[in-house]
Amino acid sequence: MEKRMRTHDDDNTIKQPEIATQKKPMTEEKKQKIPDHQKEDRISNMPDAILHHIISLVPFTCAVRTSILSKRWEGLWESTSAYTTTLDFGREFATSVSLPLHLLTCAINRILQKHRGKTIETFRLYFCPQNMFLPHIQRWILFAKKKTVRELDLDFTPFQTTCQDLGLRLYELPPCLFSCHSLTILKLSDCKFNLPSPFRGFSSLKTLHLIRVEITPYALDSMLLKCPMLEDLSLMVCYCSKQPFELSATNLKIKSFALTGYNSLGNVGSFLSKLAPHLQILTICHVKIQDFNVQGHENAPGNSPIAFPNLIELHLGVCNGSSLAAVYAFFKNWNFPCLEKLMLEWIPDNLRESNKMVQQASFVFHHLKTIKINRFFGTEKQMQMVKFLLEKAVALETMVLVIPTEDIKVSPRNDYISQAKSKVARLRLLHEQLLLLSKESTNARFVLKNHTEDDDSVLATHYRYQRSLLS
Amino acid sequence: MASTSNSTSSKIITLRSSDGEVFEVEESVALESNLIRRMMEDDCANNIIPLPNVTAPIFYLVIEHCKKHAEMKDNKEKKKELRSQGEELLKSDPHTYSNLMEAVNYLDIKSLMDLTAQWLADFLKGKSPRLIRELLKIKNDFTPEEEAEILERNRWAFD
Repeated sequence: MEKRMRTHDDDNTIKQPEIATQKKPMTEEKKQKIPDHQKEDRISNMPDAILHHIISLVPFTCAVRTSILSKRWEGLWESTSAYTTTLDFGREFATSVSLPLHLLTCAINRILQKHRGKTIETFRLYFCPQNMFLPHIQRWILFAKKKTVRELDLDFTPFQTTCQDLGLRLYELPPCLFSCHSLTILKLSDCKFNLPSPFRGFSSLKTLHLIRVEITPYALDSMLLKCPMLEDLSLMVCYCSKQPFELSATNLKIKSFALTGYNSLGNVGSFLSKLAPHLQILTICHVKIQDFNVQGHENAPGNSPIAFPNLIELHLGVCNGSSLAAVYAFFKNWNFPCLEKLMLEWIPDNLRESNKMVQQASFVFHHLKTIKINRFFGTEKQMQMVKFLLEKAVALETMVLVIPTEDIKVSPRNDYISQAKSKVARLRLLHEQLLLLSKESTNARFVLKNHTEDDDSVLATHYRYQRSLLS
Repeated sequence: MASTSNSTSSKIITLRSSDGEVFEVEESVALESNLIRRMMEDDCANNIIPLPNVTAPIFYLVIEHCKKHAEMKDNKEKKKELRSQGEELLKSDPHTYSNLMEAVNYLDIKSLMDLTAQWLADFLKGKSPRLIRELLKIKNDFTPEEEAEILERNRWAFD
């Protein structure tokens, strides 16, 4: 940002004319000798500011490699990285060089040493937390803290080849991280989240994404209490050996919440009801649906449902083993009057849920325009679910059904598509079945796709994290 | 459009390229350029606005991409498509690329600046220095000794 301001203000007024006059005689001269003026190198003649901007967009490895192109390029990457506001040592960086960890450490240290900017926006790190490198990692976090970093993204997922067999212990975040008061975004993967005491909180933190992080419900509760600006919370496959615990935080302003399989949250239903007033985007996967139905909650069944007045997008994981009754009960007990986008993820997991019958509620989705169902095999249960949704979604425009590409043999039996031979035949067969269903919204259309053809035009907001889990 | 009035409501701005060609551009398109915006705010744009650093063919390209960029808003497919066009342009005609880049920088059009810079950035990724030199016609002016020294200094990046 800062860099670009310089580009326009200085270069247009002062440098630009200078460069223009420098270049003109050169081009004229060459035009006479070489009619095809494309043979000359004009890219290198572009002003520093432009080249700096371009170099700032490539990973460090690639930036360093430009230094060998010619004398013109030699020092450019260093002056770019000295004032860059994004220090990205994330996955792209780590995978662009196949270096042993100690050399990777040297490279990172070298770049940080030469950094001259006072502040940085983003610090991203993907590193294997072997014991001997822990002091370095801590120093890097301190570095980011001193430069009043705003976005910190630390990924300690073990490298596939080097670290898996080393019996690594989970990386425990250093206390200094918890005094980075400039943070607005914190993303962590594969580490242990232990709050120091005293913990003053992050006064500006808006986004907290945790993937495979060991975090106690107490620590989570503290975070919720002491991060008053938090609006985007994502807990993906987080875990804890401690007993489930009822969170005490209230007055939460979270707009976007994603939860997959964290068993320590106590009553998920009760937690969700606290988020209900402000929530706009909700993802819930790998959680038993009956867990967040209101059983055991102060709102006993029969009372009016809990409303999410602002929820626009819902992404729900449904297990093969879960009963439709639990799904119906979910929509009966929770009310989404403004829902526009519903995505169902069919998870090949046989969680057992009680088959208790639930009376279908008499609600409708007034604003629901788009429904997407992933891993749609056309099983009887899935067809029933589609039928249910078609009856409820009175304003539906599009229902996207994505058919998995994996071997048909692994798909559940009794589905419509397993008999069909070709992919095209499968799609046609399914489509015919779907058209037989009655729908409340006469304009609704079906879009059937094979998984490989899915162009992501309907994509859950949290899908990126979802994808990182599957890989 | 770069040619005469095709709009119903919006104002038309007249611009003159360095080689003397006159363009009539819708105000909404022209104002994408912060340079032109500033000139209009300073009220030195009552008549024809001269653009001494931009030739007509390049100005055509700029306007074309301004429109493409406006179209691609919220359209991920288009966005991908537009981003991938740089590779082709840089391979076939790096000369035009640098003219376009400099014109965009001069006209101060943020959206196109991001796009064209990204083109070259994507182009540099994953290519060997030798291939980059060859494609962009960059002359290696290092002596073998100098080159070896640079390699040694940042060994880690060159494998």
